[in-house]
Amino acid sequence: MAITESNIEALEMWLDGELPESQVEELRRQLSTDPELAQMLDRVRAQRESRSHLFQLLEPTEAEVEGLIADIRSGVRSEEIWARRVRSLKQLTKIAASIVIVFMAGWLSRDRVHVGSAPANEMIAAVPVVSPAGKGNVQMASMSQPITNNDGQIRFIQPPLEFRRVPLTQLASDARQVYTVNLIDPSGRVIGTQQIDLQGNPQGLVEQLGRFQTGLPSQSQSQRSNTIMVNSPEPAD
Amino acid sequence: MSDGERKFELATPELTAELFDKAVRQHSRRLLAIARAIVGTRASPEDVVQQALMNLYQHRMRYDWREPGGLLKRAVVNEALRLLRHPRMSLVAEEHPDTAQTPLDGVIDSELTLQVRKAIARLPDHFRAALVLCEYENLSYVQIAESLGASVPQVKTWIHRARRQLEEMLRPYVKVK
Repeated sequence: MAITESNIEALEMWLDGELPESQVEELRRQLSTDPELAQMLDRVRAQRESRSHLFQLLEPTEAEVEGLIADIRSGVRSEEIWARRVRSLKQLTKIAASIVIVFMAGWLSRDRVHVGSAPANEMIAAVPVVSPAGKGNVQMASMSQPITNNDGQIRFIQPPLEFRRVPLTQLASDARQVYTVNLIDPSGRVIGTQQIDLQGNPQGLVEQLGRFQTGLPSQSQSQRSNTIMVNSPEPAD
Repeated sequence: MSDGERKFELATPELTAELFDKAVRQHSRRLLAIARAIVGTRASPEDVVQQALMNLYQHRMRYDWREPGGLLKRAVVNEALRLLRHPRMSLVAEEHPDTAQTPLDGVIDSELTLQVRKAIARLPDHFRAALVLCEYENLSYVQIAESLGASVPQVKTWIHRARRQLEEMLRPYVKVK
């Protein structure tokens, strides 16, 4: 019988232990009846042995293995040192980033640092709220809770206690002056600005503020606001 | 995912480092031989093994180091194949371990070894890697396929073709013998 590629492949798979059990019996039968195939099996085996011999020669010596192990351990130590340095560097980077962020936040909010993150009522206590002369100083007033009317807009028409108590008497002593009113949210962000002519009438300011509140761009913004900052005008020369 | 790659969740960094060191001690000899068989003189087998193991060490917490044999072999084979694809490689001096019993044996042995070695070195990289894992490591076709990221039929074809090509290359020598 002529030897085919599939015969050789079957012999190799058999020697590899990969020939399916169903084909092993058939191969054995062929080997017992076909001397040419049996001869081929001997040849395939001989080739495997010569390769196996080569692979044995590739086995490293004890010294080579020890050298390799030493190199790997040394690499592991270097890796550990490097990893520690990277960890330290990461920590330093985090600290530096925090410092930069804090500095930037301070720089950006330098004009409204008086607001900070404290509640508006506390801010009133912390900042000089009253300008005795009513000139050139910042005055603040606080709304305790915004009141939502039927159309869903925020109104401050009924001023809470804090508003009335703090600056209005002082404001009232200034005759007819234009004030810049900034509405700020609890984080100190200015969400609205309006020029209001006081005309010596505190209640007029309250009403104008109320109108100003209802004209805010969106409810979500105005709901966050509970502080009104009133800048007194620059003193006239 | 094979056993070696399954996450070893209970391992602490200390235990992992200890198991890694143990694996290095246990498997370095075989790994070096595998690397040598695959890269021949085209790269340093020591570098191949060291690089493969350092890559594993850097991500050591991902692996289960209790049974690392398969993982290590895969890493070394892949690193060897990667290095062979690398364009910048310097040739390594050829060494012929002297295991001959007599001077005449030595001549025959050296000649046979040299011819087989040269023939194996001329095989395509994947053929050579599959053949080494099959005949030196005695891995099953399934394990070889897993190591090389190939299918079992592919591996069968590679091994068969590698043997046929070797036979062709060594035919003149076999006739003389």
